[in-house]
Order: sequence, then C-alpha cells, then structure tokens
Amino acid sequence: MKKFVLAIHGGAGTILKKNMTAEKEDAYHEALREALEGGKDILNKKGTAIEATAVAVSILEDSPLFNAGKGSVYSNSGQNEMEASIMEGEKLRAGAIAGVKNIKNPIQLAKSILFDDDFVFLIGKGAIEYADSRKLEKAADEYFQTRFREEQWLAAKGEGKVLLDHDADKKFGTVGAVALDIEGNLAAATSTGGLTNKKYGRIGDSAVIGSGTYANNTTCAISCTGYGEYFLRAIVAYDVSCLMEYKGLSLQEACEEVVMKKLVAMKGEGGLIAVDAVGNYEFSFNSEGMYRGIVGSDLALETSIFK
Amino acid sequence: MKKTYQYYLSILIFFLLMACDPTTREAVEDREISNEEKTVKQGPISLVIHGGAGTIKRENMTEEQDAEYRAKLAEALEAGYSKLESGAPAMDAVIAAIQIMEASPLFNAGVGAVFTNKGKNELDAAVMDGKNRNAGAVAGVSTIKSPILAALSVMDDSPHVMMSGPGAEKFAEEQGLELVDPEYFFTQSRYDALQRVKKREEEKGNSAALLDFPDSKFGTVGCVALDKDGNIAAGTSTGGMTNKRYGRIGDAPIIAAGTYADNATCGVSATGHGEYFIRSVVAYDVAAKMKYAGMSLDGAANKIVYEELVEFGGSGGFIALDKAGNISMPFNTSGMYRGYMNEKGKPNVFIYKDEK
Repeated sequence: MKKFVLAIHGGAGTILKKNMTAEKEDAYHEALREALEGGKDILNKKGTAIEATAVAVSILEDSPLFNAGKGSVYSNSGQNEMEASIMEGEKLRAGAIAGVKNIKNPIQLAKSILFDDDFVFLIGKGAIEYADSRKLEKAADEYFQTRFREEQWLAAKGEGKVLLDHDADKKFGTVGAVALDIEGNLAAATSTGGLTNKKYGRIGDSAVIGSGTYANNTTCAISCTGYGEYFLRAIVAYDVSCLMEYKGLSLQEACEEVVMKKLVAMKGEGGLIAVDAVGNYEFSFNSEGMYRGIVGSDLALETSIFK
Repeated sequence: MKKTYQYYLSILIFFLLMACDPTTREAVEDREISNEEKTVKQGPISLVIHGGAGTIKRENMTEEQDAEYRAKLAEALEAGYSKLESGAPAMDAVIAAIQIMEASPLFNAGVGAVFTNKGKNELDAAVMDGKNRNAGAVAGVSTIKSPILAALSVMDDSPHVMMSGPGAEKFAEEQGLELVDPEYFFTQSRYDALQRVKKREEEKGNSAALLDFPDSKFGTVGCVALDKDGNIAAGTSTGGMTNKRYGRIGDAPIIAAGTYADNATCGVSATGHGEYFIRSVVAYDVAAKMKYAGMSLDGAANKIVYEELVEFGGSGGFIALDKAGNISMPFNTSGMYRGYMNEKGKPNVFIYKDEK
C-alpha cells in the first residue's frame, strides 16, 4: 500500500508550559489525538486527503479548546464570526468562506464550495444562504459560546482593543490540517474564529487561498496559523510552494525560509504545517509553541504543544 | 648594477600602470555617472492601467463607444501620470487613475458596477504598496463612493489588511470617507444585463447563462505605477460578476490573486474569471517567477496568461510593471481595455487584441 500522512495544528502563539496545568495539557493532547484518529480512519479506508483534512478540522472545530467552530472567539459585537478555507492539490479546486455565523462546521461549508464549480470564495450573509441551500448543519449562537472566550472578549472590550498582540497571551488559535492520501493527492484545510473583539468585518489569512491555505500535488499542502495580516501580505502558504517549484528548495528549506527568515524579518509571528507530495512533513513556527500532531501509514501518532 | 635595477623597476612600473590604468579610469567614470544620477537623473516613471478584459471586439463596438473608452482611458492615464510627474508617490497615481475609472459608467467598478442576483451593487477593491508590501482591501461594500479609497484607508488607518461587508462600511464612515446611497452606482445598461442573464439562467441554468454571456464574469479596473523613487504600487477595483450571489468574492480584493506589488520584482493588477485567478494566485505568481526562477517580467507574464491560465481554463489578463519601468499587458480574451504612459503628453491606449 502507498503511504498516507496527516498533520494537524490547533494554533500557535505564546504557549508556555508554566502557564498550563497538567489537566489542560492532557485535554489538548486528547483533542489533537482525536482529530488525528478521525482523519486517519478516512485515509486508512482509502479516503481522500480532502475528506481527511475536513474531518480532522471538523473535530477540532467541535472542541471548545480551539478558536474555531465551537469555542471561537467573540467579535466586537459579541458574536462568533468564523472563516475557513480548503484546497486540494490535484485539480487545484478550492473553497473559502469569511464572516459566517451559526454554521456548525465552517470547514464543511468551505468543502461544499470546493466541489461547486461556480464558486471559490463566499462571505457574510450570502455564504450563510449558500449553506442553507446545501442544507449544511446550523447551530444556535449559544452552541459557539464558551465562558472562557466570553471573558476574554469582555476583558478586551473593557480595554478597548482588538486582541491582536495581547502582551501576556499572544495566541493565534486557528486550526488546520494537511494530508497526503494513498492516491498521492494533497489537501489543506484551515478554520478559525479570528481575532477577539474584531471589528469591521475583518478577514484574516485563514479564509484566503494562497495565504492561509494552499495545496498543489506538484509541491506541497500548507495550513497556517499566526498574525493574519502579515500572513496575507507575505502570501505565506503559496510562497512555500513557489520556493519549491521555482527555486528547487526542499519542503524543509522552503518552510524554514518563509517562517524563520521572511516572517521573522517582518515580525509576523506564527507558524504552519506542511506535507509534500512524497510524504515529508514539517511543523514550522517562530512562536513559543504550536498545538500540533502527526500520524501516517508508517508514522506513529504523536501530539506536541511546546517548542 | 644599479642601472639594471632601475631599468627593470621602470619596466615593472610601466606594466603595472598599463594593467591598472584602464580599470582605474573605468572606476572613476562609474562613480561620476552614479553621482550624476543621484543629483540630476531620477528613475523612470511609468503607469499602466486596465479597464477589464473580455469578449471585446471591434465589430461589436460603435465608433462612438470606441472613442469614449479611449478618451476615458487616456484621462485616467493623464491623471495618474501627472501625479508621478509632480513627484507624488506611486500609490497616489494609482488612486487617481482608478478613481477616474470608478466614476465612469463605462467600467465595472464604482458607477457602472454590475448587479448581483438580488439587484444590488457589491464592490471590491484592493491596494498594495511595493515599498513595504503593506496592503489594504475591502470586499462586498455597497455604500462607499470610492472603494479604492476605502482599501487605501484600510491599509493606512487600520492594523488590518482586509475588511468586508457592513463592517467595512462602518470603518469607512468612521474614517470620514464619502458614503453614497447604493443608487449612486446604478446604470441602466448594467441593470438590463442582469435581466438578460437572469432570464437565460431561468431557461437554461446557471452554467449555460455563463456560457451565453461570458462577459458577465469580467470587468474590473486596475492600475500599477512606478514613481521616481523606484516605488511600485498596484490597485484594483471591481463590481465583480453580473448575477453573482451568496456574497461571492472574486480575485480583485485578494492580495496575491488580483493585486500585488513589491519593489524588488513587480506590481500586478488582474482582470478575469476570478475563481481561476484565486486558485492560481496569479498576481503573486508573476513576482515569484521573477525572483525565484529568474524570469523577466514579460517571460513570467506571458507564461502565466498564454500557457498556464489557458491550460487551466482561466480567461482574462493583467497589467504589470517592473522596477525598470518595463510594462506587460497580456490577456487571453479577445480584448482588454488598457493603456500605459511613460512620456509626458503621450497616453497610449488599446482595446483589441491586434493593437500594439
């Protein structure tokens, strides 16, 4: 049997062991493990990388621990406005959404758009109408709300700021997955609630093909997490692919160049997960930590948090 | 003995001088030229614009229409070029040129934007500054008079890159940008176009309607400029696709897909079937091919538009400008409203494929 690989992340940022209880640490490892198992099941049954990444991301969305789906951060208006994107590397099909509310699994909506030849990127109310037309599962406001995120929002609101670079707790809680399936096809998926107390319909890199998410069978699949504005300006995901395709760098060299050099030079904190067409994978981040995990046909399941 | 020594020494000195002299002289000349450049000469200034690609054919245009488009393109070029000439930064020129086209009903941006399925105008725009690769974009806005100005404000006045919908309108209002009643963007011809596409869609379905009215997916305006300091800026503004629905966003407001600028390589503004341009990350791909594969602007531009996009099924084109002032305007459709200006009083405008 040909090999498959699945890598996931649950966000990067100032994630320090001293700020974490043993219970909390266990809970994160458990949630990451569950997402890896879910995706692995698909790949084991000869499922596609698209399905595996969508399933792994859906499981992370369903967990209140991560800033995506249930447990998303609150926007300035006290709502959970989410964004997600997914791309596959064979035909370069893609789907993306931004500014959606009440969609239980935003990544499933993005996947539905990927399979629709007419669209790639839908936003706001229109995207929700699309979800209704495709009968995707909705959830009430309360489903997404968690006390932890509400407190974070109220604190940010009290200080009148967007939690963009909150000194004590700089976290970019996005979730994502990249996979290589046994047919040799790649896919990447990313989902997030964005920034706490965000205003103005702000869209980050997670919804943008080329910046937060990219997949191409000739090079690699990438899902990012970090300071979205810098990731948008640096076109992080596609740049890794370009360095491989045009400059002949390996996956590891390309990730190093983009995350540890280019992003660091522009002070763009964050990281990415990557897998290439032959199954090499990378976890690359310039922050203190990144919730992450790997599993494969010949790779034992492993989850990590700190540097 | 002493004489022999002096003799050999003088020969040695002679040869040394022979060897050194030309290089020394060259170096001196070099320095003189570069000093002169610093004090007298400035870098080239240049500006390129587009008003959208599509099925634009001579036989479908009246002489008046043809003349009207050319006059408006020339006006936009002059507006942008005069900024560059007065020493203003490239971004000022980009905004000036695009605002002329946004205010004109001829192009699918600002006034004259196409209608969505619900009969609204939802506008998108983006700018990028090649000096620091800072960027701003708005998507799905209906009440901001000049979307390109809103994109600039997102870049200059917020920590964000991209804003959307009513939130972006609120931001524009707070920044004191001019808001208008959505009626401001209305034109009868675009409204009639929506009715035609919708009628066909009812009869034959969405895909057939797109095939019958291929231009319903086109129409964008854009500008790329190079200022005297060597800074490149790019901007794009659009009403998107006729009959679009579900809050559809094309490539225009997406940094790297429809708009990109980096002083080290080039500036790009695209127009075409947005979905394909997003998936191909078209604008950044031009820059990546230049810096990583060592291709020229034209080499990269032509490969993308005439080979890769054609193979992929993505129709459209883009305008691009590099740091030396080279211009590229490739498109794989029958026409693209376009033009460039790099000499005072000489706007060069083109519409059809056979014009150069």
